[in-house]
Amino acid sequence: MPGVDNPQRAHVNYILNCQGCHGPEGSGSADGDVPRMKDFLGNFLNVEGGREFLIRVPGVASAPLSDTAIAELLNWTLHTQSPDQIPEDFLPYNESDVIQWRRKTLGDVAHERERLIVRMR
Amino acid sequence: MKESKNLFDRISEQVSRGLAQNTSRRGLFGLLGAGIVGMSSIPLLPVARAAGTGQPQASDLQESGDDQSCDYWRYCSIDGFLCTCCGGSVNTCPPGTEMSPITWIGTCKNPEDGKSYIVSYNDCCGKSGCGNCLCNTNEGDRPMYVPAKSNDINWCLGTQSSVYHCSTAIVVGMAFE
Amino acid sequence: MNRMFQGFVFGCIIASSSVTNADFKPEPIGIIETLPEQYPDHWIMAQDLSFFHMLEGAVRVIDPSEETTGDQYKGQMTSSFIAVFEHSKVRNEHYVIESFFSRGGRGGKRTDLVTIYDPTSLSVSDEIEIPAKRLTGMPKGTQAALIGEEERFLGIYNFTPAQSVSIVDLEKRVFVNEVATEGCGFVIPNGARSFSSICGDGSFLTSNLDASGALTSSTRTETMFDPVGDPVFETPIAYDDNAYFLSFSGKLLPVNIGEKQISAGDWLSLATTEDEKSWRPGGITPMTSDTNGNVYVLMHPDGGEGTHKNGGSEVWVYDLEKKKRTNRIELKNWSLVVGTSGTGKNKFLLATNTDMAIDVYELPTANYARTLTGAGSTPFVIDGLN
Ligand code: HEC
Repeated sequence: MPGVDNPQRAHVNYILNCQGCHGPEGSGSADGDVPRMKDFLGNFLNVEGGREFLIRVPGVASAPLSDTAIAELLNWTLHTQSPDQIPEDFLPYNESDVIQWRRKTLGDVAHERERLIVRMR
Repeated sequence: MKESKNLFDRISEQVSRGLAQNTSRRGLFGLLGAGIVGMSSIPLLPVARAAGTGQPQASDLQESGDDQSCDYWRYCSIDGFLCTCCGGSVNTCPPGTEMSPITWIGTCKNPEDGKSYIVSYNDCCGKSGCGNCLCNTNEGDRPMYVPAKSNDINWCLGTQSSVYHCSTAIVVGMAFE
Repeated sequence: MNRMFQGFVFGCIIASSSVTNADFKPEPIGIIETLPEQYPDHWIMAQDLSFFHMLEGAVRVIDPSEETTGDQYKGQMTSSFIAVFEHSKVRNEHYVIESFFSRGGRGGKRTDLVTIYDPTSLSVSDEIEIPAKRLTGMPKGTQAALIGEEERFLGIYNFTPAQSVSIVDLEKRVFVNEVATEGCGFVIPNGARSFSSICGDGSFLTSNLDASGALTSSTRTETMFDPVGDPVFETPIAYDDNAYFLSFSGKLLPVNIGEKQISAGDWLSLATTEDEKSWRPGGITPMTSDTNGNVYVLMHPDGGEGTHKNGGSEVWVYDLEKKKRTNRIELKNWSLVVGTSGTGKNKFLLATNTDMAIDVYELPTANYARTLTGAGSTPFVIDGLN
């Protein structure tokens, strides 16, 4: 898996910090406002602003993980839950991406998400 | 001065006084007199009740202790009524309830093998509070603004009903050594 | 007991006096009691979350200075499903933020309401429907708060688990707006038409509203505490321009929550000696304050990871004016909740003990006075209106 030094560590970080809301497979929950990542997440990489959006969402930006661990976790999540949507020229997330974007908060997350979804169409 | 007790066993004791006259108090309120946070002096019972009831278990997981008691190893960060006392089990919900897909995640040490396991505390929802075996343990629990680690939240979210009934403790992984 | 006996004797004397059929005046039927418009400031609002029967909560009005349950108990507001209570001094109204289910305990359609009570009649004067997504859980003082000096807006914290704050206009009696909070929670008022929230990375977010309750701008601070290593409890004490947050390890963090910017002062330690360092704050409601700037913290010995809800055997008093710990109060019973009420001679420290009865201590002496038993099965929040 590109950009994932230790898949087992990434998986454990996912279970500990993300799975509670997103579910083991990233299915999310329609009733509960948690978006589905499975077979979808990679689409964000195809639109402008999407790459950084995945770092800036509150669940990721605020997670008690180092910048390197966040980069690894995002790469792992994309490859495990949404491999078919990842564009061919995708450069795996790295530490400096996370440093650059993590503290730039999103404000209205749902609104920003909608903008990106529109761009996907 | 009363002895330091974790809150809820006292409350339960009080409530149980009226209810448990002829029933086995242990059966009704498994935590009585035992459910102190991090209490290690209570000898673990040799049998895990979990083994008998046929619910799914993680492969090769060795367990011991009383899963109807707050000091059972999986319950190191649980807040609410144990589903094992409410018609469910450590990892299944009672009949007619729904399991919340959204929850908080803790890490507990299994005394059988000394390893740390990741526990998903999914709530069972859609019936009013079960009322049995109230526990509140807080290892690794964090305030609500760290939601992924907070057991103070009613996690009946993403379910048809947000009425809380009881809590499970499902082993979903091993901690990274 | 004594009183009952007196009443009995008194009754007998009347009975033996010479009332005749002709001049017997029947008692009127249908009279309902009322409460004073301004409650005496030592009265408390005991919020019974009714943990075992969550649809059956209540906020009880209690006078802790009285001796019998009957004399203590003034009235009640029913509150459904781990509700939140707020009181506006400016508007002199009570608010219960609650949830109802069309099929009761089974669920069904959920309706969240801000129910407005008249403090004198304790009857419902209005209802405002809000989005059915308020956070439900253990009570924290800042799950909802009145915003602005004129207390026109009420902010209610939502969690679905997407996080936001619902803004209600109390003057127009309508829900106006949902403010996105980028993953931050709670509504901490700061005096201005603005509120702050705590974020999962240990920073704060301030959201500023316009005159209609819409969001105009927001600012996010740097990280000010370690949310994993030594997190702060959700509910701060407001004093001067600061919100004082209490950390799990027993330190106070003064955070200047201004409309424009937020800054943090130096940590203040509750412990004064080396052997006090193993003491930790804890409880369901572990901290309260009085009107003189004293903070009261429930403390337990031998604290550590996971003991932050254990309650305590002592209450430590910290004077925010003098910036030092001024007292250690040994409680009669292990307690889980603290509150205060009153001023001057009628001033109390209240503590819900592990039997869920409320012990009353007189302040400033901290002498135990009595125990209140009529506050319901689980009174998790017990404060006066000031
Ligand atoms: C408390 C629940 C919660 C936790 C924990 C959580 N998330 Fe989320 N996540 C959400 C919600 C809700 C959204 C929708 C946006 C919002 O409102 O924050 C979301 C959105 C996202 C998105 C954007 C996807 C989209 O389709 O918009 C990504 C990526 C994501 N989360 C990844 C993670 C990762 C990785 C973790 C763990 C480090 C994590 N989340 C932890 C609740 C959570």
